[in-house]
Amino acid sequence: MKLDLEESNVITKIENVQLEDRSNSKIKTAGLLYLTISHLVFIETNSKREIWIYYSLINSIEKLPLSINGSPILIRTKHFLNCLFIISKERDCQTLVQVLNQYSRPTKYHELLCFRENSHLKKLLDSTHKNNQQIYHLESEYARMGLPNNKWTMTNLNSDYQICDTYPNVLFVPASVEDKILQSSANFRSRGRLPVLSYLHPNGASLTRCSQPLSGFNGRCDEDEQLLQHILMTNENSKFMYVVDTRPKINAMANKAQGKGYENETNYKNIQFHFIGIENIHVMRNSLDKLVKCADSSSNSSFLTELEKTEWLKHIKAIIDTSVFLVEAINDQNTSVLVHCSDGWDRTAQTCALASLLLDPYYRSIHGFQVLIEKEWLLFGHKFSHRCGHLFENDKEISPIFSQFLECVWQLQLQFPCAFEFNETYLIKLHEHVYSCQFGTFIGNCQKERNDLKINELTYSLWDYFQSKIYDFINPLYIPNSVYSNSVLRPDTRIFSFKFWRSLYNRFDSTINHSEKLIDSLSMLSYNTSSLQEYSKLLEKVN
Amino acid sequence: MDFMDLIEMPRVDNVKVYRQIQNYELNQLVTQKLFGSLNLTSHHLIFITQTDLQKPREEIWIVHSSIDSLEKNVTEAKFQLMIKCKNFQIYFVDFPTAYCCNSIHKSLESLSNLTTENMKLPFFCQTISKINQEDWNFYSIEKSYKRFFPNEDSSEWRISEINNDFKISPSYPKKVIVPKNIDDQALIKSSQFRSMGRFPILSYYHKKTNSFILRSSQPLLGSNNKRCKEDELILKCALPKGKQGYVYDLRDASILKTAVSKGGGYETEVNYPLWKRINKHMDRFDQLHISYSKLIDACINSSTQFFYKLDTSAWFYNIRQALYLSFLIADEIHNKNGCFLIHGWDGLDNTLLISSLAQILLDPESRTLDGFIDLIEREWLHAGHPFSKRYFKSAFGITPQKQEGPVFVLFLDCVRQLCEQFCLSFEFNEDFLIMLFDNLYTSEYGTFLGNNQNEREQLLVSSRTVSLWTYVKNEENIKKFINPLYKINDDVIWPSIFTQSLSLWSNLFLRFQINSKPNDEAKKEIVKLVETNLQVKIKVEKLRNELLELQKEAIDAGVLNSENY
Repeated sequence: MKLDLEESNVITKIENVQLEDRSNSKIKTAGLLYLTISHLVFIETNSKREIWIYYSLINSIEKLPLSINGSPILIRTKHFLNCLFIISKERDCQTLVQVLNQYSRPTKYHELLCFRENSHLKKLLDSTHKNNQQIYHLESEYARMGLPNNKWTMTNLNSDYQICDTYPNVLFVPASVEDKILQSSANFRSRGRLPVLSYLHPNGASLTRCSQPLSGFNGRCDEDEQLLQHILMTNENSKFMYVVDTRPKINAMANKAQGKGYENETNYKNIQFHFIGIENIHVMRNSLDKLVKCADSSSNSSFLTELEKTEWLKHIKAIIDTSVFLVEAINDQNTSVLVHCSDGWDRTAQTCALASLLLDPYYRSIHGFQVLIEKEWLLFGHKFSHRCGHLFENDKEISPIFSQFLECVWQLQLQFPCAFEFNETYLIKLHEHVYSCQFGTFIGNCQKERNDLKINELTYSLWDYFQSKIYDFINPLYIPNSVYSNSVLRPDTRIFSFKFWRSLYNRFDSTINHSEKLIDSLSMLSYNTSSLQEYSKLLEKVN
Repeated sequence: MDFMDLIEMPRVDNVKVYRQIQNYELNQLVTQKLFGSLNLTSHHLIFITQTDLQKPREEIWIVHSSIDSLEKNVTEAKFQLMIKCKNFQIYFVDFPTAYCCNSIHKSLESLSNLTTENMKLPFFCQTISKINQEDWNFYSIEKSYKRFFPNEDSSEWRISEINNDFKISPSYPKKVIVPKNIDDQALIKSSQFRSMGRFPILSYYHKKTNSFILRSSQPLLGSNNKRCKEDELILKCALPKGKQGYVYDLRDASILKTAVSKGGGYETEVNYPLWKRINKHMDRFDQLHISYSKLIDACINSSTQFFYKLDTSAWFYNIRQALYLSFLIADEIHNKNGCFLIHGWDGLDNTLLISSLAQILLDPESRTLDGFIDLIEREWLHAGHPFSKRYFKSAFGITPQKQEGPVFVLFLDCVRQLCEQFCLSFEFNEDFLIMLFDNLYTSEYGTFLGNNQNEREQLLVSSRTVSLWTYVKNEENIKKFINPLYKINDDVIWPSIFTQSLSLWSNLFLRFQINSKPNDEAKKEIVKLVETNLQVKIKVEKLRNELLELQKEAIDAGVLNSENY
């Protein structure tokens, strides 16, 4: 998004700055650094090329050992831009760090960019803004699945978030179940996140989600057990249902000591219990840190060995493997599945969303994908602000859970080039704006919090912005009625099917990315075709 | 010898064949079990399934020479033969008795290891299509000369026929391009000073900057420091004023002493003062074979530490190194004033790899289908790359002589990496490269027979076999090999050589393991997009012309004022 430096409030200017090429430290470009209230701007002296970095995207500021040319500062962003600035005067360097520390670490939501006046977005979106604001209603998505019906009903039990403050205010539950049971089940589940419907497949098998039970070593809850029976009964095609704990068994065991844990198969009738083994947020955070370093050291000759050591693709594989398990249960065995992890907002969100995407071609359209993200991630309370570090808070809460989901979708796009209406650029831009804080969409940790922040009234929606640029995001190879876009997707999950996502992790390294991008040329081609078609219509009229 | 002497049992019944096939519905590999009879013919192993009312009869044809290795597993209860093919397909065959298992094993061992060129498949396949001499003469040095030097009179280079009888250098073609001022006597002297008689000849001339690539084999310095005035003269004469000469020696500097002690050597600064020697390491063909075997092993047994295994195979190291060195050469030739002499040991392998890759970067012509075939003819077939020796065995096997080395496979992979990075700049596609790979090891066509032109002439290849290019040029086939997005790109292409920028050639190395259907669908869709675009363009053009006609009529009729249009 191009802004004018004159329009921005410049706090200070630093001269005699050199930007070092990340792939070749011998190459340095001279320029100027401007510090505005929202951006760090580097302007190259010769080419006048500009690099704008939102403070909200800054991930780390690292002072490296002094060199002969000055003080080097390495700035890494959350969207994988790495800039090494060499500043000739030590005092300027201190100013830079000071300003960045002051402005790039908001502690209150209202300090975030999306709450500020933004003339650029205003121009772009104000005409459409008001109309499209509420793109998503939970009810209409469930209506698409044919709900409510005689098996499933909508409950207003959580209308004031009284049962669970991280769930949406409408929930879909088995029609046969009484409120009392739901209430007790919520009490027995970590943070009140009781089992509720996520997705209903046309064959009657359902995907439900929740958090771990507060069972400890031998606690049980009659109503929770009953609720599962009710869920099981909604599906006539199977005598049993799966309960999938996406954590490694050892983590779940450890939770028992804290009065939490997992379902005891002997207490719940007709369930088959499974541990899957996706690692927790801390393991994922460390793995990404390693991956970023591995991608950055581009002269690294043992890149593949380093990649192996990060275990990143092993984690991605685990998430897709689990989703495939859910798909096979629901679609092939006609069996319902209840999924949880610890609180049911990280691994559960990843796997439920991916399984839905594999099961239902609707979610592979641009609109359907937005609906999927709204439902499984935003409304079911994935803690975006905590996980993305929107505010300067606890580092230990940050983890690339949603980014992993986007990468999983990208891996699927690779395997099924014609199955998705949106392209890679869409995922990359989405990744950027989940962190950028320019739009309100991903601010906050749950629906209740977003309501309290008046996100809908005070901020612009990312979906509206995307809609205004929709041509950049359409996959020209999408075939809406092909085998792969019309049915269940069955990805190959053997390790060689997983690729390193160069266009994301080396997004800004022009020397690493390919010179002629297939996706760009195809987009241009189809754009050219459609404008020629317009033109020919016009000519026909004139003739 | 007759094939029939090698076949003891032409037919065995009650045989089970197992192979992995892709179940497209489940997108999974499943083991397919077939029941039927095995038949041995002079060139094929043919498995025919038993007739069954439910299933149609299936046939599997395996050419003997496509078998890379055989492993027999005979226990009391099981008589099994594992057949690993050169294209990475693997079959398991269960025999009813140990006797027939042993017999078939013995026959296949002989039939798949026949070294007599005359008994190879292409000599028995003349009927696949008519032998077309034009395709055999696709390449001519005169054509190349004309392309490099459109104006012959001002050229400093000439065609020499000194090797017309293959006596001076058995692995060189009959005619070569050399500096104009060097007479044939000097060439003979130089050839005596170079390993295998491979004296410096012109490989590529870059018209845009008048820089060039020469190639040769190593000079035979030996421990008593021999020198050859004529050889020195060739290099001196070749280099125009204002140009910097580089001898690109594709061997590690540390190994040069060994080379000298074995009678070989390098161009010393004293004797070649205008040329700067640069040593750059490339793995030799035998090391490359080990790399290739490890790569294929990683692909087949991929469950644990896949990326680590890929890395330690060093295949990507070799790709990076090859692209990097050709990048450096192209940069010097196009942007600076460098001219090159490339060689390693005999100049039969890596020399050809680097010089042909550099040309692909520099020369838009070599990125067309015809230009690429021309490059293969010129820089590999006529340059004497020993195809017969190098591709006798593939990733699973090796002969005791250890002459195997997949240098051309590495070349194809490098070209594919370039096709991927420059998806608009190549006229041919990946399928063309895979087709070349398939014909490299086992072919019905004679193109890759023998180790050099000399051998091919002695075998009368061009009158007794069909050229691979006859197959390629067939109207139906050529369509499959064209990149629909191709647009002429007159620039030099500068590839990225970071490991992140490279990819595993899954459509080749994982060909029997991945589901290619979604990608085939995408390819078709790309063709459709291009076609639709073309049709709309034609339509617009037509409408425009009609409009112009109408306007003209209107103006002529005085309805419209011409000044407004």
